[in-house]
Order: sequence, then C-alpha cells, then structure tokens
Amino acid sequence: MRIPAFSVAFAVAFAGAGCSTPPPSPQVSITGSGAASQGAGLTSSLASVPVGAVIELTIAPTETEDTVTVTVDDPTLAMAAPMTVKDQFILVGLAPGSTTLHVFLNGQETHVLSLSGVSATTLPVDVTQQPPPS
Amino acid sequence: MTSGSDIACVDPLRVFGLFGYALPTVAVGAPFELGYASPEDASGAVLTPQPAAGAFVRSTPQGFSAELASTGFVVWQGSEVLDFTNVTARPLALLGFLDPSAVPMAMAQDAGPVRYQATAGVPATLIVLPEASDGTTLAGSMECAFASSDPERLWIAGQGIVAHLAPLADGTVTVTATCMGIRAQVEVDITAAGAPPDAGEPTDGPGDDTSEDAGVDGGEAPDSDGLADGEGG
Repeated sequence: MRIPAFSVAFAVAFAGAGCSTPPPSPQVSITGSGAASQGAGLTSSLASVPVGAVIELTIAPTETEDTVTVTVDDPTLAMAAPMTVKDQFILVGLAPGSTTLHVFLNGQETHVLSLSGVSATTLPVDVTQQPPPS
Repeated sequence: MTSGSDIACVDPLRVFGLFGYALPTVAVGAPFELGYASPEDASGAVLTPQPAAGAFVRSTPQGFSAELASTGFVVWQGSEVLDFTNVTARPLALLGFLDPSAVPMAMAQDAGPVRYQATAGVPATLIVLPEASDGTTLAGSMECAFASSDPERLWIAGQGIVAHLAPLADGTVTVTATCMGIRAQVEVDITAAGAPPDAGEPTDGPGDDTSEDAGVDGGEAPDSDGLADGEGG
C-alpha cells in the first residue's frame, strides 16, 4: 500500500517542479553555409539578406531522407530556390522588408525547426537595404 | 563569393592576375563579365551567371555593371541553382600606375608624384590600376583618357586602362590619366637613347622593351607587349 502512495507523491512533485513537456525533436535543421556577404547571414532567430545579394542555407531533415522544399511568404521581398546539391538552398533579397520562410517535408509544412541549433517554429527573413558602396 | 564557387571573371586583363576562382572587387559602374567554369552542362545547355535580382544590375554591351555593395549572381540549371556568388563593388577613389615590363611589376602611387624612366625611341607601356580608397585594386572595364604635357617629347595612345608611350626626345613629361572622373599623374623622365640614366635614378623603367615599330605615324599605338589587342581593362 505504501508503494502506490509514493508513486503518486513523486508524480505530483515532478509536475509541481515546473517541468514542462520537452520540445519535440526538430524535424528540420537550418544552418548558414558558404561565405556570406556583408550584412547577410543566419542567426538563431533570423535570416538576413541585403537587397540584391544571395545567401546559402542548408535546410536538411534531422532524422529522415525526406525531401525538403521551401517557400517564402512574400515573393516580392525574397526568393528562395533549391540548389543542385541536396538540402542546399539560396535566398535572394529582392526588396526591403520582413517575410517568413516556410519549410516543407514531403509537401507537409513543418514548424519543428532547429535554427542554428536553437528550436524555432518559423524562419523570419529580413531583407535589408544595402548601404552605399564604400 | 561563396566558398568553392566556380564563377570567375572571364577576362584576365580585368582582374590583373587574379584570374581563377577568386573574384576581385569591382569598381562601381565599371562593366565586368563573369563566366562559369563549365560553360555548358551535360545536355548542352549554356551555363551563364545571371544577376540574382536583375533590378539592381545594369547590363551594358561591355558586361554587367554593379551599383550595390554586394550583388548576387546565380548560375541556373533548370529550376535549380548550380552555383552563385556575390560580387563586391566599391567606388573608384585612386589610380595607381603599373609598369608591366618590370619584374616584379613595379607599382607606385598615392603619395607624391610618381616618376618613371623611359628611353627616347623605345616604346613603353603603363597600366593604370584602379583602386578603392584603401588601395584595394578594383576590376572592371573602364575607358581612361591619357594626356601628355609635351606631345613633342612623349606621344601617348590609350586603350582602356593601358597607355602606350612613345618617348620621342629627352626631357621630363607629365602624363595625366583620367578614369571615371579620377585623375592621377606620372612624371616620365626620358633620356636620349644610349645616354646613361641620371645618377641615382632607378633604371627599372620600360627600357627593356626593344620593339622596333615604335612609330607614331598614323595614330597607331606601339603594340609592344600584346596587351593592346585585348580588352581595355
């Protein structure tokens, strides 16, 4: 009779300690790759690309061989395109503004991302105005 | 540019020995051409770098012209990207002078007047080096104007960034180069043929160029080094 009581107490204590459900394992990992030009790159919360410039992203499933495709919310601000190398994509800045990159696994959008190692649900894209050449 | 990109400037004259897979910085507004290492894919489709965002690149008969600090170029293969690069552009701020006959190539500029040794009757070549404010050499095609302060002593024909000099008589002549609104001068000390150079003066001028057809008739520039037939920079 004491053992079930202990179990209940333990469960209550565990829940009361503030433990939350661990985040699901990321389905897709997004990292920057290649040398980025000035003002371009990927952080744990944002992809930045100057107008007219290109950055390269590696967008790969973490545990499967599924095919990744991407789209951009506002194609007037940025363009995403696949490279011939698997899991490599480019992002081109077209006009200043903010948009979002959507990632699809076998045609199904996923919000379980790892962005430069940090969990994320989307990839915000910031297209910045270039400074004048100096 | 992206590491490992196979996009390169196609004209070695425009990159001054940097030809290969490292793209130079180009001068803002100066046309340049890009090529891809493999001009065709397996199906025969032409592979050419194209502006990633065409609205920001001017296309001229001499090539692309970049106005932004960083301009992306992409090689498409169907709907996929085979390669890309970002071309950096900076404003032209300085002009240097390069003596292609010197080994290693002599380069002098920036502080004070540049002096150059020449021998009467012996054609010579000077190349203008376009540079950014920090001395970074800039690629890109540009037409420069060259002027001699004394055409009776030194005749000049310019082609792009290359100046062909025909020293005619001894004396000192000022050569002025103007490229995209930037000016620079070089003092050319001309000694008579057979005369020893002034004491203490360097002798690494273009005097080893012994081309015989240094004529100045007909406005034809002496073609002493093969550069004159190429693109003008």
